[in-house]
Amino acid sequence: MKKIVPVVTLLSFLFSFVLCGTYAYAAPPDFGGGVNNEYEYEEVVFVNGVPIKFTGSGKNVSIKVTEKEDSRTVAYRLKLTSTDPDYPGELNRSVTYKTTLSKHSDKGQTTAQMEVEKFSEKIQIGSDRYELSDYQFSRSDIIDNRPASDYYSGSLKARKTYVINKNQGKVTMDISGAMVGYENFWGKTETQQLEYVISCERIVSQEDEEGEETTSDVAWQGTVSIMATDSMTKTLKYAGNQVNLSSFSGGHSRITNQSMYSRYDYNLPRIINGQASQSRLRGTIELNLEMSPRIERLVVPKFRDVAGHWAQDDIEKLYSLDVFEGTPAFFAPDAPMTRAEFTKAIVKGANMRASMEEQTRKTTRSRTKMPEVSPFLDVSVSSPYYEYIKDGVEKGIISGIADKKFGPEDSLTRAQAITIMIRALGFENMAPTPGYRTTFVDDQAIPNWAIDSVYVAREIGLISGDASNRLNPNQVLTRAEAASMLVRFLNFLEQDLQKDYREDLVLY
Amino acid sequence: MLRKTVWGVILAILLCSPVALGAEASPFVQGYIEGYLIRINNTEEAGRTAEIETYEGQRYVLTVHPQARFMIDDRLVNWSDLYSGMEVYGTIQGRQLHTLEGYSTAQLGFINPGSKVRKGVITKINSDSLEIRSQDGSRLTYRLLPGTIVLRQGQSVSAGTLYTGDRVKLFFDDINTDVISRIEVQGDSIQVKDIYRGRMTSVDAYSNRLLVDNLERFYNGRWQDTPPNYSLTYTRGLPLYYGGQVIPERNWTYLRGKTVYLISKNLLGRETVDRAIVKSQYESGYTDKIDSINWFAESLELKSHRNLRLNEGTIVIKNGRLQDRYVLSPGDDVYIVADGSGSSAAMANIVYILNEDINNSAMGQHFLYCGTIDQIFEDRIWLDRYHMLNQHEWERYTEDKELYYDMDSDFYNLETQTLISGEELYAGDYVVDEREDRARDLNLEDWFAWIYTEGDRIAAMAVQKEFEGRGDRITTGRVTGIVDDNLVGWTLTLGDSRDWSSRREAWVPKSTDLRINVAKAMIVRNGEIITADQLKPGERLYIVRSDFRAHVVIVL
Repeated sequence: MKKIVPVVTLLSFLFSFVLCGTYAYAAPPDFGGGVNNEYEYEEVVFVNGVPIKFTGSGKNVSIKVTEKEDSRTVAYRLKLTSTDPDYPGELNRSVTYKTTLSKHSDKGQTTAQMEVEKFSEKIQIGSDRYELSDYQFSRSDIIDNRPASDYYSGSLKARKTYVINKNQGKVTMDISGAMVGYENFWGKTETQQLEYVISCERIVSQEDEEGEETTSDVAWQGTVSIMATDSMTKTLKYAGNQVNLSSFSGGHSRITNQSMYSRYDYNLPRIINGQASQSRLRGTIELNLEMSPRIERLVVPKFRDVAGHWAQDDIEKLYSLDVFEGTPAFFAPDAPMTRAEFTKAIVKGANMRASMEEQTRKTTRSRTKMPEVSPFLDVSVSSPYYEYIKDGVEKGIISGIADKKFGPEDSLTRAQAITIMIRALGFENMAPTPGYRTTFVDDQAIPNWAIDSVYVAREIGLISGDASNRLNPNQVLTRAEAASMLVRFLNFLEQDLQKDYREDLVLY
Repeated sequence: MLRKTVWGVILAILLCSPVALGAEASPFVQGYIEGYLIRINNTEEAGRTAEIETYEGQRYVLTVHPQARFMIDDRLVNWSDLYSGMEVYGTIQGRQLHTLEGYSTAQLGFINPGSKVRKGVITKINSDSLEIRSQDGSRLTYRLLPGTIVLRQGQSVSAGTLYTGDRVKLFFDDINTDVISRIEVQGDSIQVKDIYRGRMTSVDAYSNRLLVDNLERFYNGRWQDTPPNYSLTYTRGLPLYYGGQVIPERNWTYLRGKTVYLISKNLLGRETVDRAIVKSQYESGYTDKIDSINWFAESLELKSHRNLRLNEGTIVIKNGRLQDRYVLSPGDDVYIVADGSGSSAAMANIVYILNEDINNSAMGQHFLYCGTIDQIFEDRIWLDRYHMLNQHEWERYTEDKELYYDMDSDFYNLETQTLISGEELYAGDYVVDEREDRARDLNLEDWFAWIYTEGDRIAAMAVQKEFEGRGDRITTGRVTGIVDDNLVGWTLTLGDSRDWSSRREAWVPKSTDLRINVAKAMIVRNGEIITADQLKPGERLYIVRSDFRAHVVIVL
């Protein structure tokens, strides 16, 4: 018992997940274009020069993710069967990848280095047995940790060497690839572009007309381009109440969807009687699997003053998400939004507090806690907005209006709101070098500190001008307008990023 | 004497004044200072001070006001972001520095080439520009240059292969330019896969699925039963129209039992509904030519004088792509699925434009010739008594036609069914001088050629010994099957096909699949000759044929 408790405690820090059935990690499995859902796994294998689809399900598919503070391990255990009756076969693969993370906190970035920890693979196709004898692998990623989302980009180089029937030759797969991805509370997507160059050198035995066995050397080369993507999003859907006699007419649900897709474009030799011919076998194979959606019903707002308002849906969404709190009967949609309220709303909406709390929990171990001192004279530590304002300042998404002054009750302007959103996304550097004008008619009215954010916000479709192409940057935002802006911001995190990292890469 | 002394003193004062000596005015007097920053010190005793050397070489140590603003190139920064040696400009009030701005940027308003992106659907293509409808509905026009790179699914293609309805990403190298440096075009997933009609039974909003029954597919000009498929995925944000209005997703459940028209595409490996419209009254179908369009009233009139209304939800399909309804124009041959009752103007739910051409747009400069080869030089050929295809009909010309070729031109011998090189074309017996003995002895004659050109440059050319018919039937359609028939060779099955009728001057849809033999045909895709086994199901073709036999097949 004495030993069990510390072991359990230790294990509880290791955050171990079985992938099939959780959303811990949005990344296509392994690096072979495979796709999976909670139950099954599919992959196309080219080791013998012919595209053969292998599938497995249930206990034959295991993907385990183990996370520590500065490393992550993914272990694949696959037992698959060929679906092609002309090429019956089995695939047994066991491979573990370890990623070491190095945080560069001063720059807000992390580098990740992935290597193979152990591997074993045996593929039986007909009478041929391919055994993985060597697997060289190197992947490196740079992760930019921004307040509302992390963005990453990686490169990969690998080589797999299979031995055929122990001594009848080998198949070498040279793999190079690039991957991009993002991860935030509202969605995660990773898209891999992999290029395989497959070289085969083997001895083929054949019987001649007199029944004598002869051998010949066969060599061929082929290429496979793989585009694989894994994407998870959380969307809000409204469900009306079917009945009349109820205390509420309907409410929102948060739906979590995850799906994987891969496309193989292959160019292989036609193998005729064991010999590679001059003509080529070209084609495309697509695989896709999706997870069953997860549904969370959200709380139902009961405001008396938003029904029929143009921003009703946005206000109710944010209230359901707990971005707007409290139990008032009135929302006051046309009242000005304050700086403190907006800061809290954006920090809650993008779930920026989650990472902050994790960090605080990890670093604060001291028994004697230092008394908290607010960095602003006009924001008390006991204020309900204090923690959110502190987070916002520490993450660099908002600063004070003057030295040691935050102005929590001051009205929020459009320019301020846009700047906060762009800083939360981490997109300030997307603006051109200084010395340009935006295309808004009232460009002159945009404060200097907001020009870059306004430019970027327009480029990414977060904002647009009014009918006269005016931004009205110094106009005070109403609570309704702020709600609409926040919902657009959350939609950007969920939909726009997914489209950019998935459809705009895969379909073009 | 006294007067002289006074005047002398006054003169001395004036001569010794800074102005007279040519020395600079003090910044404290001017109210500003400009020059180079030496350092900014921040100490408890002295507070914050800035030492600046003016352009003239004078150094000043200035006290910095506690509320002073620091900027670099008009951007607010911290005082610690200013570097020693930076060119600066500061404003001074009451002997204190109130603002200090540094200058650092080498290129103002610079973006990395290709980092400005616009995404949208092409609505119009001119010879050197194209208009797109962006995601927010606005229409933007941009210019193309000969150097603009066009990529489709990662492969470089010519701008002439762009269609209206193509979804594109446009890349620009400068924030103020309207010249496109690179275009990326969505691949095959842009094409419409099928048009369905079914009865909506339910909506699964959690999985984005429509549950339908009595599903029929529009094929070969009529609705046909399909294998049962009760669940169809729809795209996020699918606009579902009913009576010309968009119905919010939360209200779709109230449309159960209604007939719905669905347009599907193959997206991410799955058949996905990309457009949908609900039938509100009674369905009618019209195959006709558009006579006129009144955009103000959003209506069109057919040659048969039938009037139909258009609206936001009207689905227009042309070249296998969903289009903006403004692409409709008088003269278009169309099949319309209308929704109405009695004599009142029906709503056009689906407008299927039947017109196809070997040139997709004003950028296309492709031509098709056939004729007897008269001469072959090392870089050009002459055709004698040739025909050129114009508006789907052959026009005869009596004069010679000179066309140029190069090392990238493709040549194909239809007799041996092999590709030949330009040198082999030049050296071979494809053109003879009938007066030569050898020609008479071997009974050689000039060969006949089919030529597909870009302007006057030969992109692809196929030669055959004898003239076997010009191919007076022009057909377009979609490949549904390709087989290598034992008896006649490669044969296509074409669906949703139509023939050009020169009598009616219209495209006439066919009601059955067509079988067309391509064993002795020149097949061209993207200006290159391909073999029949390289054709793919779903590809749209433009075919010049004589009944069962094709002469030229162009993949659109």
